[in-house]
Amino acid sequence: MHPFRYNRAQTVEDALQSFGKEPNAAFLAGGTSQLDLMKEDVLRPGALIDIKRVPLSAIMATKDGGLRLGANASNTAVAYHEQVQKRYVGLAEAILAGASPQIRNMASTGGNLLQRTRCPYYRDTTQACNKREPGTGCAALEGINRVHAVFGANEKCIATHPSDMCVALAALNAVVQVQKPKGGTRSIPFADFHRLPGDEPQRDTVLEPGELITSVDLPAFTGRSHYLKVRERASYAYALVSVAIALEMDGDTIKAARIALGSVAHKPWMATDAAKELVGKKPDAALFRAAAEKAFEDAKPLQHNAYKIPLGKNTLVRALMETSGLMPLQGTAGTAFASSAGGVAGDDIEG
Amino acid sequence: MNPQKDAPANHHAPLATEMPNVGSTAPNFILDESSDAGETLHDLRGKPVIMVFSATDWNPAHAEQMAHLYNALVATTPDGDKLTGIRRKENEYALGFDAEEVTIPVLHDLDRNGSAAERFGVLGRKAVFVLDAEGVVRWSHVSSEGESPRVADIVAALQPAPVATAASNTAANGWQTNRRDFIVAALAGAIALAVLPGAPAEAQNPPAKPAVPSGATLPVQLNVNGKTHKLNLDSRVTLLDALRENIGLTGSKKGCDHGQCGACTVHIDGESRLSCLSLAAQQEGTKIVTIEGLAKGDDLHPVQQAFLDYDGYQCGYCTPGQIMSAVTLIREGHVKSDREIREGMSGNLCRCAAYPHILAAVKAARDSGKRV
Ligand SMILES: Cc1cc2nc3c(=O)[nH]c(=O)nc-3n(C[C@H](O)[C@H](O)[C@H](O)COP(=O)(O)OP(=O)(O)OC[C@H]3O[C@@H](n4cnc5c(N)ncnc54)[C@H](O)[C@@H]3O)c2cc1C
Ligand code: FES
Ligand code: FES
Repeated sequence: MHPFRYNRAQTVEDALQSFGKEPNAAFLAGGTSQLDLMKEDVLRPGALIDIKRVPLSAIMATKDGGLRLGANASNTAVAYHEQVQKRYVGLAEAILAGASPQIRNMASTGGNLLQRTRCPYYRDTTQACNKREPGTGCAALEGINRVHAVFGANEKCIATHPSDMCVALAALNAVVQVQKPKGGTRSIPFADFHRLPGDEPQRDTVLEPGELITSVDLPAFTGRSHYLKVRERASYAYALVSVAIALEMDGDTIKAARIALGSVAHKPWMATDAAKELVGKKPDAALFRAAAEKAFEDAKPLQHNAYKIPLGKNTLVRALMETSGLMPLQGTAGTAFASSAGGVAGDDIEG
Repeated sequence: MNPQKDAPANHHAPLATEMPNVGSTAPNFILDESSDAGETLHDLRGKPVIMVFSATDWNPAHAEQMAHLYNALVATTPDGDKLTGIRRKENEYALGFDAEEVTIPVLHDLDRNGSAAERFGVLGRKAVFVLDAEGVVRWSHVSSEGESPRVADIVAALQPAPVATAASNTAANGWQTNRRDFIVAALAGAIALAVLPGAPAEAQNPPAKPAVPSGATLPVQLNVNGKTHKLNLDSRVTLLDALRENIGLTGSKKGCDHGQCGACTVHIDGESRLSCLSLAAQQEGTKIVTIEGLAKGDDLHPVQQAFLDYDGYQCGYCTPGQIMSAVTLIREGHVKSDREIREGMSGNLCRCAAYPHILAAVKAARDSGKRV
């Protein structure tokens, strides 16, 4: 690990100021992404600004009937929060299908948004990677690109965003609240927060250096939400493909729908056109199949990841069936048992 | 399996060579037998040299060892000299002072079971030797299995002025005539500390001196198992390394060091967390409980007892982490079914695949009626 100076911030102002004073600084929340990558020499900040003491961990109701998740609220606290369990079930399912209890206890809401890709070439400092070192090329293009993107990638970068939580937040239309370093705030709709690689694959989000996330706000929501994740192991693995759904019903017709796809692009991928097809119609297997075809219409496979297209379509159909009640959930809503396609660890064993 | 590992124990013939005394010329050997250059130890004359026998645990990249180094150097630098930086370049250490940089060759990965170790009479043991520019042994420190050096002894032995006493196999004769000699000795002492772990935490605090200029070390106070430990650490030191290397609580294990295996699980403010992905400095003001803190005297914690009763392990490496996870899982009530236990324990990998027994142990502890 590269040497760095450690600073502990007590307030938001403190954090912004310390960041401004240190050349090449980075914020540190739970540390589960930041320290991991520093140990690999992928990230080499000159200073860390520890923001864990900054009082940003509250989860509270907003004026317009939504829920504010403080940037320092742990993933565990969010997943088990009574309001999340009641009104934003898909978010709880997404979080609990990710990582492990220990990691979710450490991981923060803000940090989860900014965790870096799990592309193995990004993590390997002997390989070319435009995200790690702009201009060096992309080793994944000609390498093993099984886990990489089928949407929105280019020859500069084919990495995916690995978060489960973010896929649910995108479907739930969350808003990221940001404090700017020179004073002032801004609100970023979740779908605009992460970006596609474009000419700057080193930038995962639209956040500017020194900007601090203070909260992620969920708007009021009375519909059904659900998350479905497919992975290589029954548990404790990143998604190969995942789907988050938010459905609002009017009697037995669909009033509004939002579909976000995970691990298929550099950001949670909104299947906006597919979602539109559902509006005003009754839930139905054929309708969902057509929407899934639509969602993956523009998907572009790489050498090793073509499987993501049929897998993604099937996962989407199933997620829609489960959300609308045409198929039963595989486990209690709001738990990892509902969101883990194929069951969880040891399901095939007696007990 | 490395058959050489057991060599010292099975060696019935007397050791071929005695350890060279302080003041005698060090035996010569080829530095790198695999290279054609054939460079020998004597070729390095003209500069002091530090030799370290400890192929297995000396890893200069590890922050905790650099922290020891800083601490010992700062503690012992003669007044008037200001250390401004320390860097490792290949087989040398570059020490920056106000106006100049001094480099010292360090042969730091000598095989402690190899032929050089035999020549120096330290086969199978961890040892540090300092040779002066003429190739004469000036200082040495050897540790037998299980023996820990005392930081205070080493610091005392490093003082530029002759000191009366030192650890039995540590000799300091006031030979340091110039700053370079002093630095070599200080560096060797620091390496000895790093190579020979287990030094008591209290002794690690260097005497009051100005903070290290780079700002990379900092005082850190940790509350572990109800006891407060005042440490002075490199900012890079993880909680896991601080627990194991600085405080001497080696129950928490380092499996992957990247958050993937759970062997390092500890409780922080009552929650299971990974000590390998946390900086020690982040934990000031928190309450840390390690596996050593679960039992009450000789009374094992119910989960520890259940792991014993149900053979919840084979090699035991993952067990401290498994137990720490199981305790919080039971406390938090996520143990209602087998699948809930399996899912909740999924962050703790077991290379021996003792999973069925781990599950049985967690259920037994859950059903024991004892307070977990
Ligand atoms: C073994 C392992 C398995 C995992 N599995 C999964 C999984 O299955 N699914 C999943 O979704 N995730 C998974 N994760 C990732 C995990 O969820 C993230 O590492 C975690 O959410 C990051 O949060 P943190 O608080 O630890 O962030 P940190 O590591 O502290 O920070 C991450 C980044 O965010 C920045 N940052 C943090 N807070 C703020 C803020 N308030 N404002 C501005 N910048 C900020 C930091 O500067 C840093 O760049 C896994 C991680 C590990 C180690
Ligand atoms: S050593 Fe910490 S998780 Fe493996
Ligand atoms: S008992 Fe050997 S790793 Fe678990």
